[in-house]
Amino acid sequence: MQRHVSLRRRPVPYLALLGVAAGVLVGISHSAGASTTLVRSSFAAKDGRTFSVTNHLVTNANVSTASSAGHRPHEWLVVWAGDANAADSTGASISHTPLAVNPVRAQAIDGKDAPPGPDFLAVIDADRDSATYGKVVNTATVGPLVENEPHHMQYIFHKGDSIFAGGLYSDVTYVFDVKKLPQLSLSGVNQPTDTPCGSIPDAYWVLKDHTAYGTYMGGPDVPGPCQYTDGQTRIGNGFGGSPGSIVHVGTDGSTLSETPAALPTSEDPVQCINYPVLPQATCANPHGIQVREDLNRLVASDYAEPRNIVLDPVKPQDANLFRNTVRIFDISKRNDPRLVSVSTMPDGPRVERNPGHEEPRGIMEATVTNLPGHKGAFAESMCGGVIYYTPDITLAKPKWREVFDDTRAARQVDPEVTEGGGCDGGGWLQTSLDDKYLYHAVIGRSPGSLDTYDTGSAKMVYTLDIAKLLESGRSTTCSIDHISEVYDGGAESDCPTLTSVLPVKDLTSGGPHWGTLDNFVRGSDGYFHETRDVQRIAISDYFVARTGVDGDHKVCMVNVDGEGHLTLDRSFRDENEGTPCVDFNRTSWPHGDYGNAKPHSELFVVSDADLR
Amino acid sequence: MPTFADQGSGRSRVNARLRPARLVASLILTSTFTLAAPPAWAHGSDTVAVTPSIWYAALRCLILLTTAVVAGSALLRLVLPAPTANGHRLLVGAAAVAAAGDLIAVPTYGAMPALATAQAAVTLGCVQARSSRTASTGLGAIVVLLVAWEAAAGHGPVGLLAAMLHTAAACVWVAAACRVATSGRAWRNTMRRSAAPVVLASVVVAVSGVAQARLDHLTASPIGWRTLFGTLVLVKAGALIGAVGLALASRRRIANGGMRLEAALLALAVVLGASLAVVPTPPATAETGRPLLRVVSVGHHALQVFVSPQRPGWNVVQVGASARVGVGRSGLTSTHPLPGVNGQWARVWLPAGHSWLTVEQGSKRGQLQLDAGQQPGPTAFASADAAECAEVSRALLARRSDATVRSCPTDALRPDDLQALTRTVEFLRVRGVRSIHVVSDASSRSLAARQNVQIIARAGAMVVDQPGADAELVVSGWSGAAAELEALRGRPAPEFGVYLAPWLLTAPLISRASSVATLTPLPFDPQGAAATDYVSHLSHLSSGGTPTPSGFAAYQDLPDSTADIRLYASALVSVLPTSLGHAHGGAASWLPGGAITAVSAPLAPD
Repeated sequence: MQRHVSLRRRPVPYLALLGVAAGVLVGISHSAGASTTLVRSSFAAKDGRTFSVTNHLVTNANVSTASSAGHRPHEWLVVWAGDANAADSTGASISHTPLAVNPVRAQAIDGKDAPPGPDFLAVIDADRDSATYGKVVNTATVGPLVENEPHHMQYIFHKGDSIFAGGLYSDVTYVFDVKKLPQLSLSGVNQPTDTPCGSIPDAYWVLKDHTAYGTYMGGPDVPGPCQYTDGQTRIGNGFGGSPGSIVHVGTDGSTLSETPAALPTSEDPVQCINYPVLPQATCANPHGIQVREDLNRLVASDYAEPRNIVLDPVKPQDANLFRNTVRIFDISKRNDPRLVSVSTMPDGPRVERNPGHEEPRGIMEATVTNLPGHKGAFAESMCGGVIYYTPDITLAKPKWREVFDDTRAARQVDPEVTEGGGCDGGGWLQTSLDDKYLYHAVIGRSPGSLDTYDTGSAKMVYTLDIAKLLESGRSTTCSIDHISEVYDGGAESDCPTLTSVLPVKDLTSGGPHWGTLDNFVRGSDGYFHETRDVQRIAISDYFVARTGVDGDHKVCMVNVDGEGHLTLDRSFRDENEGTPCVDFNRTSWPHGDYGNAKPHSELFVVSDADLR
Repeated sequence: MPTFADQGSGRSRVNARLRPARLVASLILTSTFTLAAPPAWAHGSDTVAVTPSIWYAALRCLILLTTAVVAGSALLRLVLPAPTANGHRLLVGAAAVAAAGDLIAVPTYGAMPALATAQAAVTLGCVQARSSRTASTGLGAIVVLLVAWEAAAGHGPVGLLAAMLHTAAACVWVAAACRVATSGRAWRNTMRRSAAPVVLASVVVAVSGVAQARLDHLTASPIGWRTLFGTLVLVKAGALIGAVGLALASRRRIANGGMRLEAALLALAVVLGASLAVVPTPPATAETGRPLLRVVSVGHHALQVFVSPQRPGWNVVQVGASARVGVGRSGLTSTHPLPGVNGQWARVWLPAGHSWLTVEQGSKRGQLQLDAGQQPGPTAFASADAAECAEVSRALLARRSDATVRSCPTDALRPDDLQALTRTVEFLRVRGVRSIHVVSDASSRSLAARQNVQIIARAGAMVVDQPGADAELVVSGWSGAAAELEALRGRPAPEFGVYLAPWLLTAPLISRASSVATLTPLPFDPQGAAATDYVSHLSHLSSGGTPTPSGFAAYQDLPDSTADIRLYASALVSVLPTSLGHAHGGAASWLPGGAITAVSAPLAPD
């Protein structure tokens, strides 16, 4: 059994290492004889509040930091995870815990009766050749805020980048330095007061200068007029409301710019309802974000006005709260993005009883093509369960068309599927770096979600072949406009074709929501190099527990062959269970016995020194 | 009882020495056993409401009784010869029933297959090994330990030890009675040889029973007699007293038939003791004049009941489900939700001293004894916002504090709340707000808040209470705030938002304003370590509590702090349609399913 030392349990002597640079305090502590080494760094925010990250490095993991002597270049999977605690389970579920007939019971499986513990970045050995492949070698806990509800980081990591990680509920963006992996340090924090015109940070895209754009899905912190950094003003209805904003975050966490996601004029007041009603109606609740720097375009998809109104016991749910729009910004001036188009996704051939299940509802994610010859982008709807495509994001009025319905993929798992795309929880959407394939994670719909007759829809990750679609360029004819194409796939010759479906067995309320590409390969020189030939992806199975959609809290590795076929990497195993996938439902972590954790997003990372 | 039955001419020297104290000792032991009526495994709780099925209870009694007879008899082979033919038949039958019960428990009640099979096998082995004293004693000891461990599951170290000793001794005791009753003509010899272990077992049962009673905070209070638990205890006591009386009354003329009846009475007592394990323990005695949190059995339901302040006069009663409650002959009142707080509540008038609270659900009733004492409670318990005061008293219970509630939050404006309101008005002035609508009520706290807000606002050239004001500041109590937030659904919200006084940050109120996005100035972080500790303890104490700022202040018991007052935005952040996931109930957090996020730097002092 591993021993560990935590700050909380044993007062260890700190060697305060000195360095105060740019408001950053760094302290290092080692515990002789312990199997966990603590390394702590702090960041003093503008308001005087001190944030910290504490590494809990497993010393017997047989790995070395990038800067140490004799170091062998290494690849890591960094997972942004939240502590699961009493707040993630209902009071009723606690009080109704059944008494066991026999004395043998599971002991403290999940610590759900424990108070909140720290959220953390888990650093997992992702080096296939390593003896500790799949082992958690460090947990870097953040403080002092708990219950951040860790959400997204950037989509992909490149040499020289920092990690940008957001807290959905804390409204905070953390910036982590990864030069000494598996050790991390905190290089910046962006607090709610740094983004007064936006709230509920969702996703990030890191630019070549290593700064990042982030989507803030919710409205301004405080209701009323809010002035953005470009001098524009919008009236918002407050935290978690509308309109959201696009924030340019520096590597030190500072706000370089905050841009309105909303038009200065009113959008369709029927489609874009806001609670409370705004003088200028807007659907601007940006969630997914990707960028083509070569085209000077930023694509952001609007998901929903996040503040809870769907559970309002009085007001009926309005499907239009789930947005059907995609926004494209001109980022020629990086600190002054300009909104150039707001496109409404078209309705499809399905006729749903629940208007919230219609194709364009809840455009959660968008992904751009990558090769210079391609200018297109894709978007997907979480509630609508379809994929849209536009061949050219540089146009003033890009034309979006539905090119795939998730039902076609769900059919592969369950040929008798009913309402296969209806609110099936589509999430991560990503083009392969060579633009041949499109990957998509779908939470699925649990049986009984709609009613007793609902047998649910598949929890899965699938691959589409998009080569023909991209080849056809602006002359594409693919369109899911006939009901037969829902189940059979697009009839036009350039429509995406289903290459592979990886079903995910998960009996929880959730399913696979996120994924990331492994864009690194070890070269003959022993170092890692970036590649467009993606051979594996990592996926995670968790959404947001407090929305009622949780997950099994597993992070899995998936192999991708040259044809885009997906197979589970069974050698990426949990160090405790000995079974495929790293299970974040565990009793102990390097930082202590905090029980289950909720992994929302993950990222393949290689330290600069290991990357050529 | 075989232990003290000293009959006939062949009395032993041991029994002769016991004779003078026989009657007294019998009564003491009987009463002790009765006081410690719940066997070691029959622990109750103030907060857990579980009522196992009657079939489970029956099966459990059957297994425990038959296994106790077999295991105890096997253990007694240390001092007794092999059983007679009658005794052997009894043991074979008991072992068969016990083994079958063990195996039936696997598919029906989820018993561990390996453990149940092993227990069944060893129980049968006890009978098979009757000719070997060593084997029989050893196997008997194993089964006694298994039964004791199984019966004592889930307790702390001291409780576990006491429970195991209690069960093991009970096994010996009941087995001795059975052995004497089936010894035929040799019953006197059997009784004499088993006297020492039985005396020892009796003492162990008594001592461990008392220890368990103390651990369970049980007393001889009459509370139990009105419950099924109390009835079972009474019948059990009757069986024991009958056994003792039978032994004493027939000491010279006792025959084997009398011993059988005595053994049967003792077995009945054991069965009743086993059945107590699956009957809800009666609530512990009320502490005079202190808020009371107990579980009351109503039919097949165990309802959590919270009475505050449990003083003479108006009180509020929270019940874990919709019910009707009342005291004495004053009639029953239906519970209903109260603004700002979770659960079902009713207002009840308590007389001084002892009284009985009746809880009724449908045709079923349960009762809870109260002890209001003589000192009246705060007058605010007569108001519509009494629940806020009740949550303060619950916070004190969560803190395990002996402090009592002498005044309620609505009685006065706290200095830190005044500072929070003052700084909020200044914040609004800087934001450009020119008019403000103040929502208040007639409570002392609210009136003081309104007066101060008006002064500060007017000093900042802001118009107060103008129709269609830029912003709204709610400083009323919970009921007034609930009504205002409800009304906001039907009219346009102020452009600069709705601000709530610090004491209004409760999940039920915030949920009413889910589409408004309220802001609250607070001197603490509801998701900070101290607040989460409070929420955690509150949820452990009871499932019906509501985290409240005034409750948190009472829980902390620290001086007011105004150093770091920030604005917190509260919103239920449920970014999924309900059709994708499943409905989720109230979670153990300040704002289940939502976020309370600091959105301002510390507000500057005026």
